[in-house]
Amino acid sequence: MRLSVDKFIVNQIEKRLKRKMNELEKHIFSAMWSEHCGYLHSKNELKKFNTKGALFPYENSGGVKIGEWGIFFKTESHNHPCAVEPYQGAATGIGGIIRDILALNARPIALLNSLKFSFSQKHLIEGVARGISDYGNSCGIANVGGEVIFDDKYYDLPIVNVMAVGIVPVEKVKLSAAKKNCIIALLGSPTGPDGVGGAAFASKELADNKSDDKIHVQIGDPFVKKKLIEATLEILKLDGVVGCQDCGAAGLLSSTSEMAYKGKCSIELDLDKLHLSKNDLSAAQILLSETQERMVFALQEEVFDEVFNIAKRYELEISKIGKTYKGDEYIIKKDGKILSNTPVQVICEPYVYELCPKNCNNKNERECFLQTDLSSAVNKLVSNPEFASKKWFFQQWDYAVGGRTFMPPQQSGAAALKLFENDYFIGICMDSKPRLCELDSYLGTKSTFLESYRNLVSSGFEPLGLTNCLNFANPENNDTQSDFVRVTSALADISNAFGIPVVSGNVSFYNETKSTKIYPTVTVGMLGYCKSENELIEAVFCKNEDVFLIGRKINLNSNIGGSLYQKILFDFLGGKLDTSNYELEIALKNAIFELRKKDLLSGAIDVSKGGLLGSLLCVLFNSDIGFCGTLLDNKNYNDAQKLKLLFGEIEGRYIFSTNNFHKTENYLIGNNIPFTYLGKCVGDKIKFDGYEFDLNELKDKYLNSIENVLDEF
Amino acid sequence: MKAAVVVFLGTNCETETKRALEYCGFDVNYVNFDTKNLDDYDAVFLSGGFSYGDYIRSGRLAKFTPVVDALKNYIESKRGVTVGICNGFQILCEAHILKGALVENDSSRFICKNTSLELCYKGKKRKIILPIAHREGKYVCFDDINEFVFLKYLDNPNGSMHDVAGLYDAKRRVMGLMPHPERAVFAKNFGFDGREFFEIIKDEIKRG
Repeated sequence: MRLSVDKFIVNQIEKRLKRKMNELEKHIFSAMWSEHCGYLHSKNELKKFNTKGALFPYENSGGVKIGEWGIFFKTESHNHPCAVEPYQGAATGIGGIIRDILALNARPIALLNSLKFSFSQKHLIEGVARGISDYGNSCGIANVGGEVIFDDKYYDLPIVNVMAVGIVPVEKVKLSAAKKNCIIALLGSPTGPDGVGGAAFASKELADNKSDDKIHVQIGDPFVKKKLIEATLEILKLDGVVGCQDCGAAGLLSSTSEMAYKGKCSIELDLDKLHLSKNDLSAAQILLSETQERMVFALQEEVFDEVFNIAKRYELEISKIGKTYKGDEYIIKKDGKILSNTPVQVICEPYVYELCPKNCNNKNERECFLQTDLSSAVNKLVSNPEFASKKWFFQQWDYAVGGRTFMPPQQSGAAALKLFENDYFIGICMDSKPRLCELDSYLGTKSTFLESYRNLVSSGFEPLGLTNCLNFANPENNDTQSDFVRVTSALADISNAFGIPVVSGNVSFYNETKSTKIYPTVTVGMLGYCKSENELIEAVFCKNEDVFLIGRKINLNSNIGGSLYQKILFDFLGGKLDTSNYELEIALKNAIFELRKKDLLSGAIDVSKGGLLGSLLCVLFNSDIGFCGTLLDNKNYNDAQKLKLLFGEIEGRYIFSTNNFHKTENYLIGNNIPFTYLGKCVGDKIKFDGYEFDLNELKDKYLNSIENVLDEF
Repeated sequence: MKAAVVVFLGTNCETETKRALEYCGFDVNYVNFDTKNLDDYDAVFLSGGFSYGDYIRSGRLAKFTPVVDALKNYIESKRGVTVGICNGFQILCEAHILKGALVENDSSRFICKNTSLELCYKGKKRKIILPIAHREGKYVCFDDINEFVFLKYLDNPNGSMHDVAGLYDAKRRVMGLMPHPERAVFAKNFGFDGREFFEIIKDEIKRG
């Protein structure tokens, strides 16, 4: 097993222990003081986040309150495992995030994914898509949405961020803290050698020869997970259950030490008592195994028989593996001997770095003046895998199991689920804008937040809270540190300004190989609510409806850095980013909700990827309808200018359709909402400013271009 | 009318099946895989999911449970109507209660989407829309089962022989189908044709 603790850290540990570590302790600290478990480089920065209004932001997962119900949601990254073993990596990523939600006694009801690949790596795309499909579908948790981004920056460095959402009555939430005088029980799959050292593996750069890293990848079993979910939810109903924690990174070691740490008590584990899948495992292997499908409980002794019977009914194994008592000791016993006795605090309070990066080099602020004619640009855009429909992915994932899904993926900006418990609806989306973050990590992060915000608003949801997954390269590198500080500041600033708390999150560093590193990749998952089905908005326009743009007007001086068309048409990344105007964003949100209430808005979409024309095309394809109107205010633009105005991406814009032109126009004028009338939904041609496209021809490219490449043998 | 929704280990559509049946006027109980008697119920539903992980083959392991023996008695005694949805259909085929087998889709991928179907009931044909969600839904059978087919794909998504999406047993008291009617009851985007399907079940129960 590899030990990855550097000299400086070893000194820190031994200073705190006031002695040398023994062999087992070296393994313990190499995991618990790893970046993955200990958040050494990120902990200080994450303190900046606004958590006001969040439920339990410091637990396995945080949440928000809707009525009397707690809605818990969190993201997790499984980038490193997916790089070496995409199928199991993705499957166990799903498995891991489900357990984080489950540990709070919340029933998992939805999954989302944010994926990034190089489109040339078919085996990674195929493996990850199938891993998510086989695992999520079998567990019976609807996979309702997310996003897929393709960029060669992710060659050999796929980003797999998964998000889970769960529901529980607020007063039934279970926390992870143990108490003294409990027994510790381990439920689920027998512990084996799989995934040993996974946390340490995820805390370093990927080797060029990936076969050495395969041993660190866990193996998932969705059938056992399904049983584990049901059994855990039954067990957590019992009164004598004190705390619960999932076995994720650094397995039994991190789960049990955290329970003791949070409960301010000692814990003693007897490794001879565990049910194992292989007999000759060492203490370090048992402690660090990341065998999937295991949960740890702190119980009062008298409730164990009942817990045992529940486990038996679900055909799951359970064992009593230890006890808690007053104090601050973490004791490991095996073969009747004490192998390690360390203070819980030292294990769970690792050394934390202060990040003080020097200012890094300026990024490319050059503008793009390249040009091509608009007709070929439109055709290239709709058939580009990043812009094109992601149905190839979504159709492989059961988005409807559970019967709560009201919007299939891509039908609107956010997935919509009904909470049959209290008749509310929740909207969920997951977004990232890595190219914008590469150009300006501060503004790019704000733009990512607003993308999620507008996705919820355009679907009829009031945003309530967010989770995030921060994927970066090596944190010891100055540029990475600098981006990380700017990203966390941006997220803190904007979540404060909007009063939308950060409820949970995850950080993944070391996403780099010797030759390349990823963009700063900030994934935001946002959740909102609405009160009835009538408030839901689809990204679908109907025949003969009028189409309006509300919000900012793009002009030749607008900052459109990082716009997708520049990458697709010219492989260009540069320019300055647009700044956002919070008052405008809120005014636009209110306008959309009010227009909806007055029955003046029938469909809406936020303007994002592909700018005005890109978003309009998406909604027309969704609606299967043509369009006739005017998108440019002047006929004399040259090709480069037309591209900028039609495809350029700026903040603060939505388009929507209405069946009552006059009332809508009056409302917008009366409420001082900036708007432009675009045209009418008619026929099966898309006509604007002298251009004409056949709806079906473009739509066919949009729907099938990913499938045509990935299903080709 | 009393309906049982059977829950095997790994079943995962029991909640929405119960919710949909209750909406359509049934009185619903879950029954566990170790249940030995189903005589209380006018209808028994085997709902969707991945019973026993669908290991070996979809529905293969579920057929060895006590409740499937009870189901055979239930069918023999002509007590009520049996409906297998998705994994339930796979189990009924594996247990030889229905003819044929369900094998991997032609695409070898899981397919989740709304599909257009032709529903034939009491000699009348009607187009309906129901969602599907399966990877092993290609129906294969070498007997002549044409007269027992009540549901056909209009745009065959998985390669099923003769476009079969759902069929009766020889006595017309057992029905199996791959599409999910229980998902087409509440949400506009999945359609409401599931309600019509459950009305047919009520009709079938009354027919006795």
